[in-house]
Amino acid sequence: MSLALFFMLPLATGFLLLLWQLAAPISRRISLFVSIVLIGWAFAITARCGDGEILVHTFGNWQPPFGIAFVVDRLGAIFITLQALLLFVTLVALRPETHGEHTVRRALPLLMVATSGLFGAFMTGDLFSLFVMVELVLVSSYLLIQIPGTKRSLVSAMPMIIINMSASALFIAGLGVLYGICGSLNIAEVIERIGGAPHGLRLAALGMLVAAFATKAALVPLCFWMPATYPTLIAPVAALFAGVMTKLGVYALLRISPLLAHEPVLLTVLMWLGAFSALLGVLAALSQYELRRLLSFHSVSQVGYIIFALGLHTVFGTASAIFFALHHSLVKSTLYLVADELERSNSSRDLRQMDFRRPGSVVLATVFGVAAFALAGIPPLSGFFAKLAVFWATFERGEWVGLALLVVASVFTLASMLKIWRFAFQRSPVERETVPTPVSTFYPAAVLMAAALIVVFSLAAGPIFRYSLEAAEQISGISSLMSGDR
Amino acid sequence: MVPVIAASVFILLTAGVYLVLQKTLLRVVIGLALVSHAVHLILLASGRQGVVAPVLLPGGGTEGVADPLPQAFVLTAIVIAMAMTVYLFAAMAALAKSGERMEVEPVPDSDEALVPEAVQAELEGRVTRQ
Repeated sequence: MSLALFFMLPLATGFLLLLWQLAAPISRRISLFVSIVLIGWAFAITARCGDGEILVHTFGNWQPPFGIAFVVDRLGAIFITLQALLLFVTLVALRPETHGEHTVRRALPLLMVATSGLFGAFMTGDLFSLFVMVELVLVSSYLLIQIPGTKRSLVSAMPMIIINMSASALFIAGLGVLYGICGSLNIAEVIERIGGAPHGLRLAALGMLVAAFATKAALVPLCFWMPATYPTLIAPVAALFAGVMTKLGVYALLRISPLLAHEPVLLTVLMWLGAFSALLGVLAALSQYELRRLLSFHSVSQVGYIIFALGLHTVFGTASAIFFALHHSLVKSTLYLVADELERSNSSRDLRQMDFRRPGSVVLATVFGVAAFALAGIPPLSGFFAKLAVFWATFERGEWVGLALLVVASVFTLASMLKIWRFAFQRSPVERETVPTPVSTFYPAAVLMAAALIVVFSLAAGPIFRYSLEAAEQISGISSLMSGDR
Repeated sequence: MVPVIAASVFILLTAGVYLVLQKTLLRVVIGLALVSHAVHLILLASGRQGVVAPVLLPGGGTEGVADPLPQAFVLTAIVIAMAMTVYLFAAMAALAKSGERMEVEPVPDSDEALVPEAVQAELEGRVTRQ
């Protein structure tokens, strides 16, 4: 029961906020309260799953071949907790004082609906309801893109919508073929039955699914909707999306990775796509001057690491992919929030226009430093452990070329962070003599909270990695448990 | 039944992909609709018994009955695809109102306001209409 309520709570909040049309501060307070409840709930679920328990909720008590089940194992619990935490940080950052009353009032219900879609996607045990949940998230994101109401937001939404709709079409087609060969879309049943399916159809079905998920995760040849769109989103929402929405594709790939074991060629393709994403993404990022576009190309690169580790197809590789995904979500959200503060205090999106003389620059510089060091992988912070795990997994498999690509990409990552540092924190533009008057005062709560999350995550890297390892064993070790009858 | 479905999927998909690759937005949207029809047919065909078989017989027998699950899937997928298409038309209407050419174009770098300042102010409740 509790899983259904957990899914319904943000959905109901979203719809009620939409209907009531309350003033922005009040709806923000309601959303904050709901998100605190969700965080507590998510941690409770994570703790229960940590004991190896698998939570199952069958809707209307219809058992799996016919009914749809919510199934939460360790992997799902990790991502649910991540989403709940980042939702809270986003809501703290999204203030009526800084982003406009109108924007906040329109964005909050959509954020809640997107959250419930993400929860549903992370909890469902059925591939078709995964599709429905993904669409729920996408619809809310299409609407969120339009909120700024500028021409750019409307034009830049188009490539995202068209590319994602094409990916959804591939997703449905893949599901159709998969249902044809397995007679079910329940993930556990598909895993059991796919072994006996004919090779050609299996390759076609899984290939279409992989292409769809790779588009949603923004791997290199399919990634260009993301750098076009994320810079135009409202910045805190972009932080949430960069953190969790790209991870939706990663999550789906992790979920179907036991299926991919039957078609190793797809895993190899994913691995190389990941390696090239890691390198090309960071090279594209280096050439950008618009801060948030630089960061979104960066996401492409980092998702490349995750998919590479997943493509290695060892338990340790999958575990490091999960750990890297968590690390990247926290760090990338923090960077987007810092970018938000920088853009507003400089009233410019361009790095070349930025000036280090601004209120709160010491706090911002510290937070940026923590996030940038974490991203680059400087030892005490989470990026070091994440990269170490991925490199170690690569080393074990003996993929030397891939390892070389990742190491080179890692050097460029540091370079691109230094670029932001140099422009935004070290210099003032020559032509601008006066200190820019800030449009709004500086609110450090959200960025500090995000930085604190990174530090806590780094300190708890050991237990979290152990949890990821257990999650990886659980998904690959199989999941006859997942069919719902325990 | 299978050759008919396969042929329809082929035709819809070819036409859809051709239209999606055009520059005019209206064609792209129609193309996306055609592509989604094609994949819905694939999903429907996965029920094996052909599209005309019923899911329930009056006598209660199970011989020649189609699998109801793909039909339920297709219903859901059709509704989602319809909503997306309507949304795209609405977005196109907004673009058209602003005097844009309805074409797929590179994303602009600047952040020019789409809605005139006065209307935006009214929307945000800063100014109330007399």
